[in-house]
Amino acid sequence: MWKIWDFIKERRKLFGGIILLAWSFSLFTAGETPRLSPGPLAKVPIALVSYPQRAITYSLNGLAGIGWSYFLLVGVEAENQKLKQTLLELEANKFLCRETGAENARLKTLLHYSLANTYTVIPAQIIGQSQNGGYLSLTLNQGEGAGLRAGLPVATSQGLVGRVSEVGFREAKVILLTDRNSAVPILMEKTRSQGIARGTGDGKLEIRYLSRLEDIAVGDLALTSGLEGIYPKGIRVGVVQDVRRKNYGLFQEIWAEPSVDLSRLEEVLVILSEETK
Amino acid sequence: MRPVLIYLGWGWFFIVLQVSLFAFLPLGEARPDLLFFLILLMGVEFGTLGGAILVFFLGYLLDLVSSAFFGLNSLLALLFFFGVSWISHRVDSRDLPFWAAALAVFSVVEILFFWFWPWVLNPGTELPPGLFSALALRTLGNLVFGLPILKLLYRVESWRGKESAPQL
Repeated sequence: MWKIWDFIKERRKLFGGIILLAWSFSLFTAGETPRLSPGPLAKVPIALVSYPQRAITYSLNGLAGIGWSYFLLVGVEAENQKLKQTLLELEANKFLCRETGAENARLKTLLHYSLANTYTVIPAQIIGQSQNGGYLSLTLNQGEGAGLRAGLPVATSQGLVGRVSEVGFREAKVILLTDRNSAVPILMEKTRSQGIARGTGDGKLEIRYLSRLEDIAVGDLALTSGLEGIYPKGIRVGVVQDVRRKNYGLFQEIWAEPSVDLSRLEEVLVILSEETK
Repeated sequence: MRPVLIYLGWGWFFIVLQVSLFAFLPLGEARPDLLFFLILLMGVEFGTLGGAILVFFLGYLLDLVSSAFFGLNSLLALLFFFGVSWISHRVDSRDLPFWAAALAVFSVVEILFFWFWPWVLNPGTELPPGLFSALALRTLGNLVFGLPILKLLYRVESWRGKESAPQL
């Protein structure tokens, strides 16, 4: 008995190393299954990293803001002219919208449609980001305390950003739409045909499983279809940039640009639930 | 002070830098793996079971705050640590060529892992373009940032009067 113990003790680095490697390998392979939020023990080290991360990120954003505000002044005159032109166009559109709105209200009353669906959202700031070989994630400054949990969709007013993958006390990790692990069920706004938007890892989306017969063109909008149950229906996902139809195969090849400029995100909205208010 | 606390402090510092300051630099694939510079040093100077446990913990911490595949960093960190530790007993491991070779090998292994792991899980997956540029950029980034940082770490090590690796 003692001989076995001595044998193990003499080779403790070897045995310890094998145990650690086996443990880390099991973590790695288990990581491919849907992940749960880390347990309470993991939240302490996450907090130890996220607080200084938050401080550095806020400081950097502050410094960048000072620098940018100078450079932005240079383009203010041109931007002002452009905004005036946009305002004129919007004024013209307003008259059209007023008429459409009145028509919409009448039709809703006819259909006994109560109120539009709205979402309960939590605003969050981005305090960190990570990029590894096409796998992209963000860290938010809101966590479990604010009601966040893994799987919640993240968006801005422009469209979908991604979904929450892990949650700490006061921070959460978000897997971006363009991450190579990401797949979102979509619905083409024009044709109502359904497909899947996969992240390519280089800032683009590949829309799959749209029949060659569907009339998809550059500029068409892809929306969330709401089928998977993670993303609410109707959120903008991306705009078609390139369509290729080969002479063979069932589907066409479609690439899209995300509706949200993911490289310039500062704040996002985490969609907690889809409720009728 | 016990080496484990010093390395833990360095590890925490590098992880914080990696997920905050370096995350904002527009480096793309050339973004360096700061924690792995420390692990290289630990493989040479602190190649004990205690060092391995600490490396596992630091890799796990990096997985928690930033990882595409949960568990990948702790696995890569341990493999890199044991690899460096094993080789360091056979070659002169406190020299620039060793560091450069170790960093280059690590960069290649890491990128290949990221590129091919989804394909291993699902062989039908198309491999994305840009593998060679990613390999070149990651290796370049790790060498450009890694060598000066390792030099600095060794200077700090010698400043605190460390002569040789402690043995368990």
